Parts: sequence; C-alpha cells; structure tokens
Amino acid sequence: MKLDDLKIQWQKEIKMLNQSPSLNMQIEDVSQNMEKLEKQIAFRDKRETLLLLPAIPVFILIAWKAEHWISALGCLLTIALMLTQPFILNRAKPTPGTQLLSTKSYLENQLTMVNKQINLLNSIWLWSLLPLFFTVSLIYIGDNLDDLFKWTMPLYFGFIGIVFIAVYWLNARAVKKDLIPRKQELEKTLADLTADESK
Amino acid sequence: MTESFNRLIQQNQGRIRYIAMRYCRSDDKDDLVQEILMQLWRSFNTFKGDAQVSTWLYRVALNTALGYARKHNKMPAQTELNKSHEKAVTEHTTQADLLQAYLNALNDTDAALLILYLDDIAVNEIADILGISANATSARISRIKQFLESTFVGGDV
Repeated sequence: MKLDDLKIQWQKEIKMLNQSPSLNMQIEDVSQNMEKLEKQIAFRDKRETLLLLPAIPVFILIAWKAEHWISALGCLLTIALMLTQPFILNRAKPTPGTQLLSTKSYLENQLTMVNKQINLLNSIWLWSLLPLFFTVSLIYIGDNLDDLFKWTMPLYFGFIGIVFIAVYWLNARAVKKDLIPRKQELEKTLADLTADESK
Repeated sequence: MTESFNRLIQQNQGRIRYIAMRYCRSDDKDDLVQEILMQLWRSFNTFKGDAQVSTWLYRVALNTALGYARKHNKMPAQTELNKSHEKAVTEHTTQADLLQAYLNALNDTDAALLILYLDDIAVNEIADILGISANATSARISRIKQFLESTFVGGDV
C-alpha cells in the first residue's frame, strides 16, 4: 500500500462530490446568498453598539433633570464610556482577509487575536468596570449631596457591586473555559505545523 | 464577477466538501461548507489571479476549516479518530474508508498537507499555502508516506 495509490481514490471522491446534488443546490446562487449573509454578519457585528443606543436617551434625560451638576457630569461620562467600549472591543476582533494568508501566518494572527482578547477580558475592571463605577458614583453623589450616607447608599452600591462582580466573573469564566483552551489548541497546531522547520 | 465566482465554486465544490468532511463532524458539514463559501466570496475581490486558483482556494478553505474546527471544538476526540483508524485497518475496508480513516488519524496540519499532496499540488505551492519551507514540506510528506506504508504493509486494500 503506497500513499500515491490513494491519489486515484482521492480523484474519484472529488469527482463524485463534484456531482453531489445537495451541494449543487447550496451553491446554485451562492453570490446572492453570500450578499444576504454578509448583511446579516454586518448587523450582528453592530448589534452590541445598537443595544446600547436605547440607554443613551435615558442617561441624557437623567442628566437634564439632575439637580446637581455632579450628577449630570456622571451621566455624560457614562454615555461617553458606553460609546467608547464597542471600539475597545473591536480592537480584539479578527481582521478581515486573514484567510488569504498562509496557514502559518493565519494561525499566528489568530493567536495574536486570542491573546488580545484574553488581555482585554482580564483587564475589564480597568477599562470598563472601574470607570463605570466612578461615573455611577458621581450620579449618586450629585443626587444625594445633602445626605450622602443615607439608607439607600448600601443598597445602591450593593446592587452595582453585585452586577459588576457578575460581569467580571462571566468574563473570567469565558477566558478560562473558551479562550485559554483555544490558545493552547492554536499553539499546538502551530507547533505541529512548524515541527520540521528547525530540522 | 458573480458568474465567474459561481463557475469557480462549481468546479471546486468537491475539494471544498472534502475539506469540510475532514474538519468537522458530519452534522456540521453544511455549516462549514457555507462558512468556506462565505470566506471565498469575501476574498474573491482581492484575488487578482496573480496567485494560482488552487493556492487561493486552498488557503482560504483550509484556514477557514482550521478556524472552524477550533472555534466550534466539534472534531471527534483523538481517541475516537484512532479507533476509526484502527477499525479501518483491521477490517480491511475499501480504499475510500481507508483514506478517510487515514486522514482522520493525522493531526489537522498533516491532514491539510495530505489533502494538498493527494490533489497533486507541487511541493513549492504546498509550502506557499502552509507558510512553511519547501524542505520542511518534503520532510513531512516523507514522514506521512512512511507512516502510511509502515501501517498498511501487507494490507489487502
């Protein structure tokens, strides 16, 4: 049994698959389907930003009605933060066109992206939670300047604390369960691919 | 553009489908085929014909398949692969089964290399697609050949 004997088998199978009716149907008008799919993907990529949009008028209204400028400032800073976060997240999204690279470059590119995502999620408290805590604290302080330490304070900050801990925990879980195994898998595939390079 | 793209896909659908069969479970095959078609469509504009069609097609298809397999983590476990490989050897099944089992027994990058080799792609082009040197490509092909020949010596397939 020689490897070259399998070439004939390969050609046979490719010929057979070329005549497969199901795939013929699937690619009947592939270009049309692809355009539709592209639109869906473009919408999916913008979904995170679009989901934030309804919150913006709410914060504008709160800022407008705020009794103290500190609260208004807190609202405006919260809006600014909400608008910048999708851009920060976008930096760790795969760049289009990487499929055109060689397999080695593609895998290296993917590894860089996964590392970026890990760093981003590990530091979420720095670029998202801490600034957000600061802005919502401003809103509370501005609204309660006359009596900061009233009974609502532990409730307000307790609720925010629980939400922030949950967000941090979900991100840490995604890193541990999804990104770290993906990184290890990529490193292994790259090592397999380049195993003969040093010889 | 759309006509030439459709024609190109028609001519190469067997290759695309074969790659999909290797890199995901059978129930996800259509999803991977669609993902490969999507990526090919996206990169078709940038494909100017400077490179060979096979280089472009295999680069996009294999990279997409490797990415898909990792992202969806739906590849059969290695033990499962080894079992199917052993089964094919011990049961002396058809060459088609043997080829499938053999491809499954190899790791993802060796399987990619074998697919390219079976399609009669030149060593330099394989090296270009995978991004490794021609020497490393030749060494790897020899190793794969050795593995197959040592595993199937005396097999009446």
